[in-house]
Amino acid sequence: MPSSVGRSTYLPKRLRRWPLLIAIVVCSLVLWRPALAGVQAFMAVSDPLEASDFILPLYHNADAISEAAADLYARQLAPRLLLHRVESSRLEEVGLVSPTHVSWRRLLEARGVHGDAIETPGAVIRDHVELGRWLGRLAIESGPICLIVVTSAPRSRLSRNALSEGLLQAATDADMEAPPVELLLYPVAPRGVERSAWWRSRLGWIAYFDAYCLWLIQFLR
Amino acid sequence: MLVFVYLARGSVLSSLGALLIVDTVGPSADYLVPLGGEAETRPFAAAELHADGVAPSVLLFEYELTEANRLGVELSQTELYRRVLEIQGVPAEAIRVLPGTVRNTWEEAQALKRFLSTQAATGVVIVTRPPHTRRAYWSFRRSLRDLPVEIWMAPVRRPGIDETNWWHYDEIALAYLRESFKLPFYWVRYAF
Repeated sequence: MPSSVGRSTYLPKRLRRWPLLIAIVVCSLVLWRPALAGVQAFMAVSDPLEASDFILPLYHNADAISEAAADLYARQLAPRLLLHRVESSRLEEVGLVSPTHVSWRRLLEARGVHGDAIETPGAVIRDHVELGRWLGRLAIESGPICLIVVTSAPRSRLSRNALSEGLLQAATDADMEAPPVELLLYPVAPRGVERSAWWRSRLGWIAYFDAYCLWLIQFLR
Repeated sequence: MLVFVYLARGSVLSSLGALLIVDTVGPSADYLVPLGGEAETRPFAAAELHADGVAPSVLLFEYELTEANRLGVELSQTELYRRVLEIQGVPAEAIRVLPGTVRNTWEEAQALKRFLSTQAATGVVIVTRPPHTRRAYWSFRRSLRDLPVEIWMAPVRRPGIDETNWWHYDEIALAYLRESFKLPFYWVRYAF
């Protein structure tokens, strides 16, 4: 009776799947929140703040980052802010928008930062690796510096990796082990995204999707 | 399997890139339609196509205003597009803004459909970034399927960047990866 033998072995197998399915559903119900919090915790790196030489806002999310940078300045965590120039865009070239560092200066001044406290060196910087390299060279030439890096929370791990890579390049150029630069990462939730519940907004999903894509794509290059 | 995919990642990513791009700029059309979202490239490309005689007119959409637009700190996207076109030599009378605020590609396609329903146009050239062309083509073809209008796609390529190396540039890679998810989303969301 081959059919009854097949049937008798098939049914228990099906039944054995139920506890597994129930376990998966229960785990999902219990663990979804910690899992999503973990998604954020991995990407958003931060350091304890201390008095520093500069506040360095990265140009991720103008509203949230300029507000956080101005707040740190008001709390006197650093006396100066450092902006960097980026390559000019075609819109800048035809005079329809201001250079990025000029817009940021306006934003920061509007938020109460004194104009004299904002420094914009002349070098044009293409990415965060190049920014790290430039900071490394600056520290090697003029002495140790400590910076509070204000960055978008989803991009903070990527920012730290890129800046550290640039610092390492500067050290290698100068035959040193490491340049005298201390980076303190200060991640800021993008506008419209709740820090402790990023999954509640579409913007939060986009921000973390982008961050993970950028992180993963590094391994495919 | 994963090891194989990793070793063949160049081919896999190139194929994905090629799959997302539709490049069909054809004979002359009635309208150039630069899609929103990238004032840095799309209106410039539309102006070049206009100068090349691809189409005599350019259609723009109206987009939602941001806080900075309302405060007058920044030009609205529509105004930015219009100014770029004019600076690049497109006569003001050749630029037309379609009524109704749009928020995404599908709504742009619907706005164009409403406009073309009242016109005797036979062809439009959609100007957008390369990885967006497949989704845009699908949206416009679906929206305009009842009209006798040909749709041509003009991907705005950046020098040195194409489907064979897009993953080496952060922001470009993001555009390709986002489109890989948005395209199936559109198929599901707007197919019926």
